[in-house]
Amino acid sequence: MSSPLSGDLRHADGLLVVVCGYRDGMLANSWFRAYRRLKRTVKLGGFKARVELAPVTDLPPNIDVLAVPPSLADVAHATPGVLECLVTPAEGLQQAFDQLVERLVREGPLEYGPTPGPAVAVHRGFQALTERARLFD
Amino acid sequence: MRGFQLHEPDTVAGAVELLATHGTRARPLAGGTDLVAGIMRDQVIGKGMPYPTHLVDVGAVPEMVGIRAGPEGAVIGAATTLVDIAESAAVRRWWPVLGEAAREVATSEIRAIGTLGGNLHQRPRCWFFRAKDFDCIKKGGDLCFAVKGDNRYNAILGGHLCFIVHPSDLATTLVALGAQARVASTGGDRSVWFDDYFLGPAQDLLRETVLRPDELLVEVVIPVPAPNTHQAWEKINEKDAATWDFALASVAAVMTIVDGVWQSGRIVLGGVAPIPFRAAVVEDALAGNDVRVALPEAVAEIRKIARPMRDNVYKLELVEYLIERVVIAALERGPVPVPTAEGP
Repeated sequence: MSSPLSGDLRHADGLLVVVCGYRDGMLANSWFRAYRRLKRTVKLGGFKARVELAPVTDLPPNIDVLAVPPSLADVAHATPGVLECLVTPAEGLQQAFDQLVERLVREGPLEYGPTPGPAVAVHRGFQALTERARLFD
Repeated sequence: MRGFQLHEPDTVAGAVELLATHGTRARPLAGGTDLVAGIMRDQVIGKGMPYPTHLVDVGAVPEMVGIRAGPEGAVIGAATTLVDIAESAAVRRWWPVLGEAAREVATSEIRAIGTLGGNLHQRPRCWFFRAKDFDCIKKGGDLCFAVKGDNRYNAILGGHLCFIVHPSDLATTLVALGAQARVASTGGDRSVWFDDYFLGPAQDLLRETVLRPDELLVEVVIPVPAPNTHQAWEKINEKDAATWDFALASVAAVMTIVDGVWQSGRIVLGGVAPIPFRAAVVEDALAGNDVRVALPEAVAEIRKIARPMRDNVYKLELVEYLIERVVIAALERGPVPVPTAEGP
């Protein structure tokens, strides 16, 4: 872990944005499963947070926490605007994230969000008529 | 289709330099029947699968074209066309399993421009992956739509989070023949056994081979078949044989048999798993046994490891039937001759 995250988060509504980064064109199954566990943790815990998966060459803006495997540590640390980096192998990601969440809840930046409603997606054939409802978006 | 830059290197070194420079935005191009006429035309893109903006045409690189066959084995350039492989006298005589597969790929027009490397590296078949509005795991999304959707063409073996099927007809034969891939990159060359060449979703969700974005398959090295080696290959399409279609199931069998008894060999399945799937359970059940006697029970072993989904149980029966049919066909044809310096 580097540059411990504290104080205010990037988003005005207090949403913690966590991105699990991977090397462009290569996504290990174990890393994907670790990402899905984080997503489930956030959903089941009811935290005001969003977890995304993205290649490190195409990261979304305003990331609070960037999690990467050790092979991408340099890239993660060089990414501008990231408040905290979690550099850990896939097996350790859940534990590192749990510790981070515990600290953020204790210190204040991370809050519990409203109970999410059911996700609804409406399609006509292959065409999406509405975006899949996303937590807190 | 969006625009792209076409690069035409005339050496392998030049090609890998270009691939290293442009990373995942670059793709090697040979026949282009899948890359250009499939993936790019149909906009099969996602977060984990960027649109190729640089195509490196390796079709004119002399080191990558041609077939050299003799008593030491065969070396086939990755940019050799499928029609050249299908019509090679040496391949037809000494490695007929490869010739049969090359002859059955798609249509004669596609075989005339499609290449060995392109056939091995074509992207997988799954209609959710190929449809541009489904942001599936294989393209960097979150879901495999085949799990709850119509999964009649998806994998029954080796799927994990993603249930694509490997469509290559030639890949099964190269695994069965125990061939090796020679791979080039800016860091040097390396050889990879085809046993280890393909990656399923249990290892990597975005790649289907061990190649990194800066690596290029240059040629395929096929060993000499042992004495008493029998070979056969066959596929089953949904439509009739005269129509272009991908295999619902294919089987390549390369086996050493003496007096009807299985000594060693490989049975490799295509169209039913995310990678060319070696049916080791069937091989183990046949080992040391009279093939004709042990075959029905050996083939049923595949049921112990298969995990069919709602709509593709039929593939299990199909592949059992096909293994039996291909092994018997190989037996009845007799052993292939051992390569000699005199030529085929």
